[in-house]
Amino acid sequence: MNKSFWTVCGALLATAAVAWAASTVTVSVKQTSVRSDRQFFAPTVATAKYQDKLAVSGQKGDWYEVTVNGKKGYVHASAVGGGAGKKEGSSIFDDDSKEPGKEDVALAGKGFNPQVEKEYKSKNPKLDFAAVDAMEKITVSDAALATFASQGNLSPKGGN
Amino acid sequence: MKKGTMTLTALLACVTLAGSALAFGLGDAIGGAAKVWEKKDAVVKAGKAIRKGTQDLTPSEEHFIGRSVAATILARYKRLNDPKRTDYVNRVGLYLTRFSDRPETFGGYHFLLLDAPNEVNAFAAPGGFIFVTSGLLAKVKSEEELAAVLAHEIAHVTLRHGLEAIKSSNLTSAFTIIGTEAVKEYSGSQLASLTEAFSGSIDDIVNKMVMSGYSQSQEFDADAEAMAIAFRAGYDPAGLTGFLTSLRDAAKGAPDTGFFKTHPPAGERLTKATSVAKQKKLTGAAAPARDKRFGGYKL
Repeated sequence: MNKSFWTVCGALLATAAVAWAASTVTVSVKQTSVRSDRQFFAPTVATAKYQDKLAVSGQKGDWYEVTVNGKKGYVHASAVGGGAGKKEGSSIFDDDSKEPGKEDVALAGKGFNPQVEKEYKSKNPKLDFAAVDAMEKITVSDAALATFASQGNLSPKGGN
Repeated sequence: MKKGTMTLTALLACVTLAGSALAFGLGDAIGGAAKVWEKKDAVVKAGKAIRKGTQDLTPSEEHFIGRSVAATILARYKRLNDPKRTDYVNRVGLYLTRFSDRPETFGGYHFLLLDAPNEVNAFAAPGGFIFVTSGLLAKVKSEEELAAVLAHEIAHVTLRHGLEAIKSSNLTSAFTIIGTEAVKEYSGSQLASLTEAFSGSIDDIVNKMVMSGYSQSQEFDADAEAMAIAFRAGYDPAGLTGFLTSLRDAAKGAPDTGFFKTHPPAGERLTKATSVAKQKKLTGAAAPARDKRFGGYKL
């Protein structure tokens, strides 16, 4: 095999490596945890916020391996998916326009947004948005959920 | 191995390796300036007229739709002031969401009890706002049954049943306004038109959820998905059939209101759910620890 052959091969692989490193997903939820393993009850190594672009180094099942602030971890596909109606994780880079979260980048803040809600609220003063705000504050930590599962002898048979 | 064969093998290996990386999504690195322009153009197009159906709503739009649907529910029902049981329902519900097809939504899942002791009902607004009446909580006999009910509501969210209730006229109207404006702040007439489409969408969802109910096939699909979620989470999927049996028995002579009005007959759901559980081998067992725990929260 001559030198030019290996030059072509090297160029192809280098391009692929650069391309792989350049791959990103965009966070499409308010906030998501970057976890140390591909499961929801794994420790959080970093937190990513809406519209953050995360560098991707791999993908397995419904989880992306990403790097955030120099820390490697995993985010679930449903946190970086496209439209609300899509089965998250189904559009894995099969074409450039379907890069997870990319549509949200273009549409971020547009459409049915806080401005529209404010206007709708002013026209419907009897609706109870204060109760919705209070409802959104109800949370349970992952650690508490893991304890809850353990105390209830719940042994998962699959999933995330 | 002959030299020619080696060359071909090596070349194929290079192309395969490079190709796999590209298939992973990386066209950007190869196409230079032309590709950059294509990407810029694609971003502009994404903000224009390519959105057509509910599947094109973004997670944040789904969230704001869900908030207004929730605000409508909370204007009709009083929340149950019971922090202990509310926390328990949230623990069961949030644990289950981790085993759904969509564990994360824009604002996360939240569960609330409604003070309606005489109504057996539950609602799931888009984005993950889930409501359970105190009448329903009093009806469930175990944590497995409660998990089945919550998993059914989670399934309505993951299967987008609420969003699917939006009439296409409202969506088309909204997408037309959104698509022609490259701004995040809308002016007077645009905001009025967009709010009108938004209002129509909320009405469509609330009418479907509270008045007419989802279609039979949507309810059957939510039942099947609920059993799958419960199974994956480690609950006994028979919690659903247990609850449906209670509902079927309670439906005899019951007024045609609430849950009984908006859901298919419990007997039909029971038959379908039993068949799905058998076909997909969704089996499990209750645990004394969960039965004991549930005893502390039973209404």
